[in-house]
Formats: sequence, structure tokens, C-alpha cells
Amino acid sequence: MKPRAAILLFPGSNCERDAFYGLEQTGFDPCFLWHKESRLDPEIRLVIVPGGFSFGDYLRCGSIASHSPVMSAVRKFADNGGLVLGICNGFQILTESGLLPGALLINRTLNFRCHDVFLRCDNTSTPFTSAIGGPLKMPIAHYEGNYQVSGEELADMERNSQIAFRYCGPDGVYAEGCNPNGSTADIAGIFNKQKNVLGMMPHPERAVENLLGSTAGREIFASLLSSLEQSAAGGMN
Amino acid sequence: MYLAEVFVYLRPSIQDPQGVVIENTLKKLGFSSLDRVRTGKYFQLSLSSASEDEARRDAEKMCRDLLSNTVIEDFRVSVRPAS
Amino acid sequence: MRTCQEVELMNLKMDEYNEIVRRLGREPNDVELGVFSVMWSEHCSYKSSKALLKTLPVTGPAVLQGPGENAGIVDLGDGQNALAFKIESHNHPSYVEPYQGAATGVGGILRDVFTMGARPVAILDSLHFGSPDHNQKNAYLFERVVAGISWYGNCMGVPTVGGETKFDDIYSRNPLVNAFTAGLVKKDRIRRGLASGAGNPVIYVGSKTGRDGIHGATFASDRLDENSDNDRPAVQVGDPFSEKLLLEACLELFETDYVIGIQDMGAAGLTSSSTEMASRSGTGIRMNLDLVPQREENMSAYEIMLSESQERMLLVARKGTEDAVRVIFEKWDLNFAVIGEVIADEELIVMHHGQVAARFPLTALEPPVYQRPVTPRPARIFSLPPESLKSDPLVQFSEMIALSPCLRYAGQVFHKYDFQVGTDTVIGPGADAAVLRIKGSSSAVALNLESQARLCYINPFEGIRAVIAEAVINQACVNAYPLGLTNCLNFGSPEKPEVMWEFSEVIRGMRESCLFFDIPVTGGNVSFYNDFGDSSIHPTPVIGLAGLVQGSIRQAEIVPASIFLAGELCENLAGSVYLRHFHQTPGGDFSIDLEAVKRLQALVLDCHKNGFIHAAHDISDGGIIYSLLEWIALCNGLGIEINDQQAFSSTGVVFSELPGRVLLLVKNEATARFISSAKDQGLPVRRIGSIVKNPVFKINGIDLDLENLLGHYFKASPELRCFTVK
Repeated sequence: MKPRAAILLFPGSNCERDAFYGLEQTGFDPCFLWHKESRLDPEIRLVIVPGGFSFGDYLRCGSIASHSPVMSAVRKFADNGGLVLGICNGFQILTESGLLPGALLINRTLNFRCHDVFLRCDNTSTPFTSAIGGPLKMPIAHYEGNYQVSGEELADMERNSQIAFRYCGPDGVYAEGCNPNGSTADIAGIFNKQKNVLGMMPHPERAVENLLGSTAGREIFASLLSSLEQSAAGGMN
Repeated sequence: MYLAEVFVYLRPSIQDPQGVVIENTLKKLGFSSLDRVRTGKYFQLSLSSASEDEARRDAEKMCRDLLSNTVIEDFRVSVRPAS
Repeated sequence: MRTCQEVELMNLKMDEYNEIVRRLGREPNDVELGVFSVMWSEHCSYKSSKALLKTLPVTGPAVLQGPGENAGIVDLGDGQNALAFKIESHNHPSYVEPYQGAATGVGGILRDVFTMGARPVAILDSLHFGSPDHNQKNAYLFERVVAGISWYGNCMGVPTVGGETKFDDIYSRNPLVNAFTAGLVKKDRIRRGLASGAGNPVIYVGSKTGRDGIHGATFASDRLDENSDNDRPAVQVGDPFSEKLLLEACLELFETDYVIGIQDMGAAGLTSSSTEMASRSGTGIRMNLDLVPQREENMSAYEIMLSESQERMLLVARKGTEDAVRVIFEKWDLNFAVIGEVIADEELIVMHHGQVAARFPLTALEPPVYQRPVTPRPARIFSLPPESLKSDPLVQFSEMIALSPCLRYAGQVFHKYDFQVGTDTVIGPGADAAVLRIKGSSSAVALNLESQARLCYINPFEGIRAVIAEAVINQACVNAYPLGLTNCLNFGSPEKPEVMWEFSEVIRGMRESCLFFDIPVTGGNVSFYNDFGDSSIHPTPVIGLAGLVQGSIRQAEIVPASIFLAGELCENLAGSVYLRHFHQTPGGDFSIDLEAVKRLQALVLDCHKNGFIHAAHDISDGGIIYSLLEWIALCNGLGIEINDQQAFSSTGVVFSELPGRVLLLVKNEATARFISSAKDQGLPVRRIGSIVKNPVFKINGIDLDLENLLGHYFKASPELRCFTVK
């Protein structure tokens, strides 16, 4: 049976349908979950916090969404080890909710940027990244993706292998100009301490077909699929 | 040295979508005494103008030229000697 | 009896006022006069253009909705999907407040498309500014307009997949901001702006009404001048967040059969939506303004009727479904109010505070149609001493690219737009046309916007033929054939006979080319009064084509192979960036051979069909040499070597921009078949060189400084250079 994945739906979300399609293409059984819901169905194995402009991104990106009833449920789900993936605005919602450390500020170039970037995965022993091979080509589309965290916390995160992705050149090593937003340590995505919550600015759901230029996103969804299959098998034992 | 504090906010007749969303959220969070939210921006300007009056004039000109969009925004300036 | 002055303050002429009095049989009250004033404004009434617009071909086998609705619709031929699309101007508001002006322009055209029942899937923009180099105001307008479009489109989650940005100082005081939207709708789910069935409720949904933009429609129909900066009341603030909610709520509503009709409260707000819906249906509307959700206190009937607050819709539902409709809008945190009902008599009845605020037969509102005087003028011909064109074109190219803002990487604009959201953008901005796939369908659509104002300035009839020819060729370059055309006709004051002549010539040329290529016009927008003081802009008709990809989607692939030039060599520099840059002139007369363009279109489509080519690219701004540079900029580490003395011999052939020539990257194994196919079609083709494996740009043995050229090309956006390679 395909694992059930819930895509949160806030007023102003706009990548939820892309996430739905991307999950369908990669072996999941997706459904939407309205922001006013205060519980998650027990069959839900993965929560996607999609991109967009939740609540217009008014006040601060993700800040108003982080106070939604559904986010209390997601917090409990994550506390119990449930897998949560926040993409773009979803990453911002997760940092505003305190599920992930740090904050996302306006890009250093002071404008919205939409183009492909290259990513290097720093930790491939997580449920999100086990199937990742080489560098990933993936699109970004954001105005506030400049990840900032204190030096102390960063050192902590590095010790805990919490850095998921860093911007790099096409060959997987740092290249001049490859960081599109000025983020600390070229960070594009991070895990929580337990590695069951991932937030990332690039859009894996936009990279699941050759027709659109990249299938790198499939490597993340394939990792999740195999991790969920293993834990389902483990559950039966 | 003078410190000018500048508030820039939307003119009363201009729609403030941010304010409306923040207002609704605060009300949902239980702040029943809240009537209305209007948003704006705040700036601190350190000025080496010769006098308090001149500092005010300088700050006001900065507001008109750059800090505010006078088509949709008003501003308020308060000036005091920098301590 | 009102005075002449009072009437003119309402932007009406005295004879128009007298006509209103005659039709009503009495003096209108202030609210009624306000209604007439906006509905008879050029922006809403098309009173100067209607007679000419009627001559355009509007029907065809694919047309499901022609002009007269909020957007046109064409059938995509897959048995289920149709495409709604339209372009609209927001020129004057974007000069007064560029960020909000451009943003609300995008918001308005999105609503026009989703009121038809369609989910918007693409935005394109045609922008004209004065040169941003050495002019801070132009640079400011350019930056803020792009930021406003980016904000609104990105927030809505509709990709901005293409468009054009042109610079000419004629637009310094009157920039043009034209926004296009296309949306997908199931053929059996199309909605229209109707108000039928007496007794059915008239429902207001969306944001509350404030005093924003009162008389925006008349403002759009007035010229800009030094005082325009003080035209405060006309500035509307956009709220893409509310619009996103409105979009989702409307689409949810359209899944039901509760709705009879729906229309955006755009220009002239409640007035135009209510009267137009009733007029289309041969009914009337009675409404009570006390029930309209209001943001400000003590609003008068006049203000409520004429407000142009954004993100609002008027809909007519089946009686008895009000509560079901309410549930949908309240789910999305939107205002909902039943404000009136449809009545059988063709009459508008507006109540306010228990009094009749306005009441008159809707037939009286039918705007006048004018046959404005036209004064023909000869083609503007600017001749140059022949020796002025004798310089070395290769040297001039590097000079031109260093200094002309028209020849910079368009990504400085389009990378600020989310062009991928929706995961349907197969060919994005920067290409000859954008291509979107449709999930669950074998059809794909191609969209592009074109204008050539300098050619239309020289000769408006030939100019529009050039625009349409180029647009058709651009579609062919992405393997598409046009299904329908929408136009945004930006002109000066129609009260100037010479402007009116330009307009009539453009319509004549558009009619002829549309008939020739068999492209129906499905709607559009006229923007007159693009004047500043006494001077008008160049006649700037912008056209948008919606086409159907023929067979499979073909993505350009820049790989080592032979480069062919298809089409006749042309030495005419009319309208070129070159002439404007070096000689500050639009150039001499020209004419377009539509037959040759049609043969070229057929050849390019044939090349796609038979798999002869890796890529096709139209020759346009900057000439053949610039089109080649664009190819080099897309590929990693590859270069171009040209060996063709004749095609690169003179300034004329190197920099000519007239449509009718295409670069084709022909597969090695297909060369012979390609050449014989071209011969069969009677079209000249010549091998001019090839893509090579090292990063050089060599023309007839001369090595151009490629790094220097690319440095200039990416001058406005160096930070993007490392992200552009495919």
C-alpha cells in the first residue's frame, strides 16, 4: 500500500497542488489537510508543509501559519517521530513554529529569485536522504531564503549532522556565486536534532520529471519511501 | 547629534491587507479587546544637523524623498538630542 | 441644469451630457451622472474604437468565446480543455505608483480570467519604459513595476512565463504595463458574466469596499501631466493574498451549479459589473448599497458605486443556494453579502439609506459610438547617408551591446518571477514563446507577447503586420500554431486625428494579417490617451498569441551541429536597435511579405515534425548576431563559428530585425533531408556556420572577445550568470 502523505493547506499556500502531483508521481498517496484541523489521521506517515505565501506572508513569512491549529497537531506528530518535510514557505513555517532552529531572512540580493541551483547533501543517513547519490539540481523560488543562525547553534548543528543541504556548483563543490541568498554556511536545508523534520528552500516537488528539467527531487521522495517501507516492515515484526 | 524617530504608515483611506490579517489572527488568539490593526514602518535616523529644527526638516525631507511613498503613506517624525 | 464646467469635471462632453438628459427625459442625479461618466469613459465604453474593432475577424472553429466577455476562450482540441486568455493595460496607475499600479494590473487580469471559470496557469507581461541608464526615474519605474508584478504573481502562485521588456525614451513619461493571463477551464465548466432569472440573488464577495480608485476608469482615459502625481484617489492597493482566497473560493464554487453568472468588479467597480451583467442578459438589477461590505465609514452611494477597491466579485446565484454559496466564501474568510436581486425590467435600481439613489433604464446606458476624424500621414521615412552604414559591424556590435539596455539578458527581469510554480512550465521565459503542458492531456499550449513600436511609428499598417508575422514565427520556433489572438492597443489621444489614423491603420493591418494566418481575435483592450502634455507615445499595439503545440513538445538543445539561416537575407534596418543606438532614428520604410512568412512558418513546423533540428530561434532585436550570442549564453563551454561572408558582410544584414528569418540548428544526419524540404517549400536556406565545442565566437575568421560580450550581456544581473546554463 502506498504511504499516506498529508499536505497542509493554509490560506495563501500555492505549491500544494504541485506537491500533490509530485507525491503521486513518486509512489505516495497524498491528501490535503486544512489549517483549521487540529488532528492528524493515524494513517498519515508523512506531513508536507508546502510552499507559497501562507496568510500573505504578512507580518513575517510563516509566522501566522505557525499559530494554526494544524501546527499543534504537526508538533505532536513530530515529537512522536513522524516525518515532516517543509519546503520553501513550509521551511519558514517550521522555523517560526520552533520545530527547526534559526530563521530565514530576505535574500542578500534583495530580490525574489527563481532558477535552478545545485545542492550537496551533507548527511545521507537520514530518512530523507538515504537514496541521494551525487549533487542535486533543483529549482528555488523565494524572496526570503537567507538562513541565519547563531555561530554557537551552527556549531551545534554541525556536530549533530543537522545540515541537510548546502548550495554548491554543478560538480558538488563550492563555487563562487553558487549561494543565491547569502545564507549562513551556504545552507539550503536543515534537519532537527532527531532527523525526522527537514526544512529546505529548494523545491524537490518541482524536480520529478525530465520534461521539466530535473528528477533530483525523486531522490528525496525515494529515500522517504524506502524509510517508510522499512519502518512498516519493522512494525509488522 | 540628534536622533530622529520616524513612523511611516498607510494613509487612513488606503487599504492595509497586512493589518487586516494580523488583526484577525490576534482576535483568533483571544485578544478580544482588540479593535483594529494598522501596520507601518519605524526608522531611527542619527543626524549631525546643526539644530533640532534643522534635524526635523532633514528627516522630513528624507521621508518625502525616500522613506515614505507619499502616494499611499503618511509619516510622523519626532526628534530629540542624541544622548 | 448643470454647467459645462461641472459636466467636464465628470469627464463628459456637453453633448454627451445632453444626450443623457434626452435619454432619461430628465436631469440625472449625481449618482446617476457618476454611473454614466464611468460607463461612457473611453476605458469602459470603447466609444472611439468600437466601430473599427468590429471589423476584426472574431470567429473560428476553435473559438468558444469571442470579444465582449471578461476573456476570450479557445478549444484546445483534446475533448475536454479550453484556454481562457486576455491582455489588459495598467499604464497610468503604474506611472503614478509603479509597484501597486503594476500589481493591481496583474490582479485585474487574473480576475478577468478566473471569472470565466478558468484556473490561471500563466502570466506574461509586455513592458515599455524609458531607458533606465542615466535616468533615475526610469530606473525606478522599471524596478518597481517588475517588483510589483513579481509580488502579485508569485503570491498568487501563477507562473510568469514570458513577455517582453523594451526601452525607448518615448515612454519615459508614459510607461506601458500590459499584463496577460491564460487559464485552463473544462469546456463544460465555462462561466460568463450573466444576470438572468428574475428573483435570483445578486451577491457581493471578496474584500470590503473603500474609497480607493474612485474614477479610476476615467483616470485611465485621461492624459498624464505634471499633476498626475497628485491623483491620489485613483491609487489602489493590491492584496494578492485576498485574491488567492477569492480564486480558490470561486473555483470551489464553480464545481457546483449554484452560479448563474459572475464578473470581476474591476474598472468602475460595482457600476460596471452590475450593469454589464444585466445588459448581457436583457434583465435589470435592484440592489441596496447598505448591504455592501464597507471598509470605511460614511461612504456615499456615489462612492460605493464607483469605488475600484480590488479583489471583489459580483455574482448571480440560483435562488435558494445563497446559504451554500455563503459556506464556501466563509470557509475562505471572505466577505459575502446578498446585496440585491435580478429583476425582469431592464432597469438599474440602486437603494441607499432607504432612498432611491439611482434608477434608470439600462438601455439608456448604451454608450455612444464615435467615428473620430482621421488625418492620414505618409510613412515616416528617415534616410541616412549611405556612408554612415560603412563601419565594421563586428566592432559596432560590441559597442552596441555595451551601451544598449535593449540587448541585456532578459533574466534580470524574469528570474524575479516564479516561472515554475504549477509544474507545467516546459519552456519558460527567455525563449521565443513559452510552452506549458497540461497534466492529463496530450495538448500543450504556447504563449507569447509581441510588439514593434518603432515599426508601427514608421508605418502603422506594415508595423502591425510585422508584429503578427514575428509572433507567428515565434510560435513556430516552439512547434506551435496559433489558435487565437488578444490585443492591447496602446495609443495617444483618439481626439488627435493623426493618432486615430494610426489606430485605424493598425486595425486594418491586424485584420488583414489575422485573416491571412487564420487567427481569430478573441478580445483585448484599448488604452488611449497615452500622452504626456502634447506628445503621444509611438503607436504600440501589443499582441498576445495562444497556440497549440503540434505533436510533441520540442525543447531547444544547443549542441555541436550546423547552423542554418532560413529566409531571405534582408538589409533593411527599419526599427532596429542599431539605428536607434547609432543614428537615433527609427529608420526608413519597409514592407512585410506575409506569403514568405507563411512559408517560413511551414518550414519550421515541418522541421520539428520530422525531427530535423535541435533548436530554432527567431531573429529579432539586435539582429542575427545577437540571436547567435543568445545561443552561446545558454550553453556551457560551447561556441559558434560562422563562415558566411555574404550574411555578415554589411551593417544592414547583420543588424536587420525585420521578421522572416530564423536560425535553425540542424541535426547532422538530417541535413540533406532538411535542405530538400526547404527547396520543396521554395524557401532559401543557407548554412552559415556551426556550434563548436570550445567557447569562442568567430565570424569569418575574426575572433570576437566572447568574455567581454557576455560580460555586457549579463551586465544588469551578473549574479545570475552562473545559473543560466541549461
